[in-house]
Amino acid sequence: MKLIIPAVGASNFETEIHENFGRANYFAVINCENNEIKFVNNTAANKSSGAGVGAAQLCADQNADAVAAYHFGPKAYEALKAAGIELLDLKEQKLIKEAFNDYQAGNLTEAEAGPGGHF
Amino acid sequence: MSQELSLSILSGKGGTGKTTLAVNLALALDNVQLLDADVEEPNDYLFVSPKIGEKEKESVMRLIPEVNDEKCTACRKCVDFCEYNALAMMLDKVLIFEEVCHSCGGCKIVCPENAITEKEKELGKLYHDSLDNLDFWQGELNPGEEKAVPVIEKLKTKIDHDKKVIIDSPPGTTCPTIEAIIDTDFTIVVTEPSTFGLHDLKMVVEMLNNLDQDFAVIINRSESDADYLIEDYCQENGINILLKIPFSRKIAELYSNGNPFVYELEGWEEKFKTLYRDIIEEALNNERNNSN
Repeated sequence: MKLIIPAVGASNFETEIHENFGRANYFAVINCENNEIKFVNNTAANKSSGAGVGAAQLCADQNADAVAAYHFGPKAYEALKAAGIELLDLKEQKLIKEAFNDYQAGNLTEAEAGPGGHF
Repeated sequence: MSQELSLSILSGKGGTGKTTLAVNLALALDNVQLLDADVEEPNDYLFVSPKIGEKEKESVMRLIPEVNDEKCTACRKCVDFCEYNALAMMLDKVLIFEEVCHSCGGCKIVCPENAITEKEKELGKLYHDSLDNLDFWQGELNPGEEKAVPVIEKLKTKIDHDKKVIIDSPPGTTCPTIEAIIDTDFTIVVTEPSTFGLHDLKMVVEMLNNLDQDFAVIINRSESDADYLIEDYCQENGINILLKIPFSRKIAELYSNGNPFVYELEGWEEKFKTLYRDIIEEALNNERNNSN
């Protein structure tokens, strides 16, 4: 299983989660079988529009099984759903490791599409 | 002048007084064409044609791609081409996000399988009402649509240069604003004497200077102990202030009831007529200076 979480930096499990999905600086890509983490640059973050769609494409291209974030915009939601990726809701978690631990423990619930976050 | 002047009315932020100025100025003059180009929330109609929704209208269409899944080989060329992320490839199927599509047609051109065709979609509407002395047009963007420029482009095709053209522009410094003002002879920037007002005025002035657009300023909600905020800035930058509309409860009440105050408050019809003469003079002066 592969889990993706938006991240503010590109270092390790101690990195903070980015508050936004589409405009996150990086994505933490975690292989849940061996707990390996790698970071990919979110090339969609600086696009004038459609960052959520671009970020969803990136997650699909990384073969993600699940994505966990605080908030998904409507277009990112639709795109990730179409890719068959599970969308999970983050709340109190601050660091990647907290989100990952909650994911492993099965504590994350399914996310809903929120309003578009960027105008 | 062989043609009448075309004027655009602009502000740095919403709620500053564009509508107040556009409507009252239009109603004070003869032979006017008022075009509401604030297509995301047009509201001039409240004052001049409250039943505009029942009047003559036409659709503004745009083209969006449609993918034939039978022909598509999931090569991704269209997705990679789209600068606006209007396309995504999910499980070998192209998804189309119509709202962010700029209708450029590029995806259709790059598709090696001819799997992409284009279909028309309504983006917005134009409304029209002919009143005494006032030819009124309104552009309106459909809910959920993000691209205001094509609606404004279509609205501009209705411009009649035999009339005094007044365009109520979208606020701010974005593409729709530029589209609304770029072909007009002169721009009036409405501002208010507050820190916010000044901040947004500066942004607009920077944009207008970049566009080489001639303009002057009007202060709305003018108050003698606050106007210096705008006056000092305008003086330092050689910008003329052509009118002050006072901060008045009466004007606010009339506005909230949909009554143009030019009809209700004595002396204002003449003030707006004088304003228009000043605008023409200013525009002609600038024209002379520019040609020297």
